Amino acid sequence: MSALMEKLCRSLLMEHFGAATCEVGCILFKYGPKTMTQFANFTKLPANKIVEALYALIKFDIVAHEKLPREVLYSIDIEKIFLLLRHHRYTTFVKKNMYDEAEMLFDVVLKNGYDTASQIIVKTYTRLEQNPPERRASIPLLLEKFELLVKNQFIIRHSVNNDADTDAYNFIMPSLHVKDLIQLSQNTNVDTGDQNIFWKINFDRFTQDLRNEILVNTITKRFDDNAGELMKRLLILMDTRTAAWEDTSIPIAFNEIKEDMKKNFPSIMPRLDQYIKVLEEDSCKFIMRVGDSGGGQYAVNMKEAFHQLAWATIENIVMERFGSKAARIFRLVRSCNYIEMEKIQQKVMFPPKETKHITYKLTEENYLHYRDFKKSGTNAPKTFYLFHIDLDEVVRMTIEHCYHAIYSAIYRRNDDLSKNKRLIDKEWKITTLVKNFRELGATPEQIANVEDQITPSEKAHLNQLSMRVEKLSTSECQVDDTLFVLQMYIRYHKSKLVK
Amino acid sequence: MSGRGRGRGGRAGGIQLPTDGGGKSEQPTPILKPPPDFPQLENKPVPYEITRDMKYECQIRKEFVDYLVGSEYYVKLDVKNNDIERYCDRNQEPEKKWESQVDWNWMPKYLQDDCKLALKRHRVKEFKAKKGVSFKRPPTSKSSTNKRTKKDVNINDKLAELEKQEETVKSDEEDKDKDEEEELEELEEQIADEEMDEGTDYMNSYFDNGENYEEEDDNLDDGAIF
Repeated sequence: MSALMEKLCRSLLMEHFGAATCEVGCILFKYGPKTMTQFANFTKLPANKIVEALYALIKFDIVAHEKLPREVLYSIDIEKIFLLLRHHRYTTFVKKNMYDEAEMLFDVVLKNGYDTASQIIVKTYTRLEQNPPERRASIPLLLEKFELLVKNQFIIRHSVNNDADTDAYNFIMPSLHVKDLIQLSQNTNVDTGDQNIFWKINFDRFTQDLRNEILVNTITKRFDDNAGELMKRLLILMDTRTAAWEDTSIPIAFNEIKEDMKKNFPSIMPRLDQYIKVLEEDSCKFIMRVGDSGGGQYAVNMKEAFHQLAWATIENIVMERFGSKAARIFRLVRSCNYIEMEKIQQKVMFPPKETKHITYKLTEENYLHYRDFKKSGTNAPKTFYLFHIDLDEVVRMTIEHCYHAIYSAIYRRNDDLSKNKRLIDKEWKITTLVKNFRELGATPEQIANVEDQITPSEKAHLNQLSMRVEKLSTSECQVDDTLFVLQMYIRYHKSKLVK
Repeated sequence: MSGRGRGRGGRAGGIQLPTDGGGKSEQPTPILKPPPDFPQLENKPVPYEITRDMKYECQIRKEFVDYLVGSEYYVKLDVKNNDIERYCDRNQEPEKKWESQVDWNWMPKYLQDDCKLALKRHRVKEFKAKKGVSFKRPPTSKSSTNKRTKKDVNINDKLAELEKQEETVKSDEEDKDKDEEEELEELEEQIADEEMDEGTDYMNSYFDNGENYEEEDDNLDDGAIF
């Protein structure tokens, strides 16, 4: 783990779970799994703080535990910490696909780590009760929505003892009775029969969904909405028959696609074969033709898709950082695999001096790499320098840059907020005061009097501050988008790297 | 001819970065300070528009963080400044006790035991540190009868103190008494077991020297057999 990654983990833990948890987490990822007694060797934290920290981390599935003969061994999963960055995306995803009640249920699961189904439903119910009547939901409806969430595999059973990790087991709902739930919501003690069945968020499923969303968005942007919809259907077809993280899908016959489209998306029918042909022949290579039987066999090529997306991302970064000339050189090196300086100069058709300068600049920043070959045997031994791009390395470097950017954004945001804490507190106090005054029926003059306590300059400053904070938070999300694409690339190409 | 010579000269030791290909290879100036914290950007980043969806996502994220900060999952460090008594401290509500907020039921049994054991240990240690009472037996008390009585006294001592410390409700004092006693005995046993088996130095207190514990534990272990 790099220093930047550690810094980012620290700041994320600090932001979400507080200083003590941050320290416990750091010990775990710096020094490896620990038992409760071993913590004392690494930190001066009192034991109760350690327990509290572990409690929170285990509840949010960041720390795993394993039973040893006498003690319990705790270990941390760093990937899960980075998922904290994406929680809001999961919520919006659920909202987009399943409406508000499901979103509320999901939100409760998100905020409580794991919990039993009955508790989740009752907690959501009590929270919705505070809303105006038209936005409330009844318990039977919530139960139905919960079942739907499970059916869509957005939440998954938490297997406490890590046994029986089969798919069938993971998504079986316990039988819950509406009557029991209603009684539970009225604060009576009822045995709902699911005391030991806990549910948590199925992060893997969301990663897949976000992945699919990226592909669909790409196609929509590149061609049109119809093509996007076609891609979406293809991915759904892929999900039904292929294991989740396979490189390519099992071949789908053209006839099957046709039938599926007839059912779900009839308007594309007249031009279906053209769309498929365009998708297949396009340089993005998301789908490929693997056979001719059954009107043609097509497969979605995830690995290649993310290869192409990673290239596009890196090319864009080069373009924005070093200008279009650099991007041209970068693309040239990419298309030629290995190329000499002289050839670059001939092909890009820029002034040679400038070409050289840009090439070296890219090499210095590690976007280009070179290899030297010595030609010996003749009278004048000569060395060739061949430029090339090692995509894996560039992607890893860019991931580091992303970590750095997110860390900086968080740091800057917290810095801004803490520097202006006094002012923010003041604003908050005054707004609550005004609200109270309004409720008590004070005269407009009185309210204006209170409001005047914030001077115009302070108001302007606050405005500026909130805009800056908003910009920093949104940019965090934006960087995370890039990070996600690159992480997917690494995920699909890891096996190659191991070999 | 001269061009060739220049080329060879320039590249003899590998590529030198950055060379503009003009004239002799220049010796790079030595770098004497770290790079600046905020380097000048050559190209400005592309501005982007903040859409409504993005705002909504940020809002959700903020809400999530705010919720966590107010929940039992947010663990702060206790920083107390005893030198100055501040006015604002007096008016602050006492923070809710963590233990009253949490629910242990979702944890598997072994995890609960592990966590609770650590908490109990902490309680005993804290209490000792507070009162400055050492429960160590004099090293001479080797005879078993002696140990027995000593132990009883100790536990009663502890119980009394613990009760005071926690300000337990008076009503079911007797029940509490028993519970507490059982708990403590169990705790001591467990600690002793561990100590013997693994020889960890966990119990080396920061306030006491560690030997006292060893003594006590050994004795207690014996005591429990009776």
